[in-house]
Amino acid sequence: MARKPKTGPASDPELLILSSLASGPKHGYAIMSDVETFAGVTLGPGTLYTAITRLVEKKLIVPQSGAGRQRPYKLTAEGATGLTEQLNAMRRVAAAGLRRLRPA
Amino acid sequence: MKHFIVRTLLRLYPASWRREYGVELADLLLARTLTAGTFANVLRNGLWQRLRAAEPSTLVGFAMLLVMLNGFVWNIIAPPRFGSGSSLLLQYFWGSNLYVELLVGCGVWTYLRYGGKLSRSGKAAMRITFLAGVPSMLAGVLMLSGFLSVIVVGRWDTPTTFHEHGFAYTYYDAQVRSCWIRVQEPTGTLKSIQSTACPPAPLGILVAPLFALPASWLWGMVGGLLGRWIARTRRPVSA
Repeated sequence: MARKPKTGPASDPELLILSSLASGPKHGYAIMSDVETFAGVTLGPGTLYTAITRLVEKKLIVPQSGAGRQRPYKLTAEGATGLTEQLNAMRRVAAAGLRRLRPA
Repeated sequence: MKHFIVRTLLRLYPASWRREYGVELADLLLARTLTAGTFANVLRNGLWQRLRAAEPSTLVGFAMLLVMLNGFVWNIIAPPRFGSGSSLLLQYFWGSNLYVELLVGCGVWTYLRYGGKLSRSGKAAMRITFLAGVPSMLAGVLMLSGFLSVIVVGRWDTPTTFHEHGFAYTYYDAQVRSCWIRVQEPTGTLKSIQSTACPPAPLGILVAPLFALPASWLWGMVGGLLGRWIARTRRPVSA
């Protein structure tokens, strides 16, 4: 049950993790810190790993064999496509909303 | 101490999940300050993972346990005469076709999901009945130990409400029914007398759900057979 820390699509843990991995493979702790930096959202450790489990099951990310105990996770091609589609859809909604808010 | 808390928290997750992600989550928790929020977050997600990994029959069994528990609670705080839907549900559910269909359905589901022996479907159905019977067995234990006293209210019992000290009190007049009980006289001899206090036997309540297990096993097996037939008809015909 990956509870969303805030409301809205931009706080969805799965989307945040995919966005974080878009810049390259990261392990759990690095994903958490990165999400906090670029989105201002603190993911709980349980929420983070529940979302990672789901993303691995959906084959959107894949664990890599790491040297230490922490394995880095990498975005798959399918994950990159899914993320691009989601972000484009969000951009369309955001653009439309902002355009309508603008005074005529 | 922190290591102990983290290890205990990780126990909430299913073993298969721990094998895959346990070390990573443990390291993450050890590297952070364990706040109440972190504790609650891990606890909630651990239970969620356990729920995801559970067998269908366990989930259905727990759902049944809640239905039964709900029925018991409503029977105590609002007996059927006051139109409590939950208590009526409890009475009718055990003897209903829906209950049998649930056991057969779980047998089908178990066979289609895991395949293998039919007995697995039978065991799954037994698990549902056992879990659903836990509130009843618990009531039996409480009655045996003297913590719970049960009065059976039937449709012939009339409720009477009176007002006192600003509260409304309701009691049931259960004088219509009576049973023979044995009492000890001051001389020490046992004598049978007719009494209106006829509670059900605690031992009977304790073991009653266990008698339902063989029937559940059979219904589960029927479901398993049905599942096997469905699996065979779905299989593509080889050339």
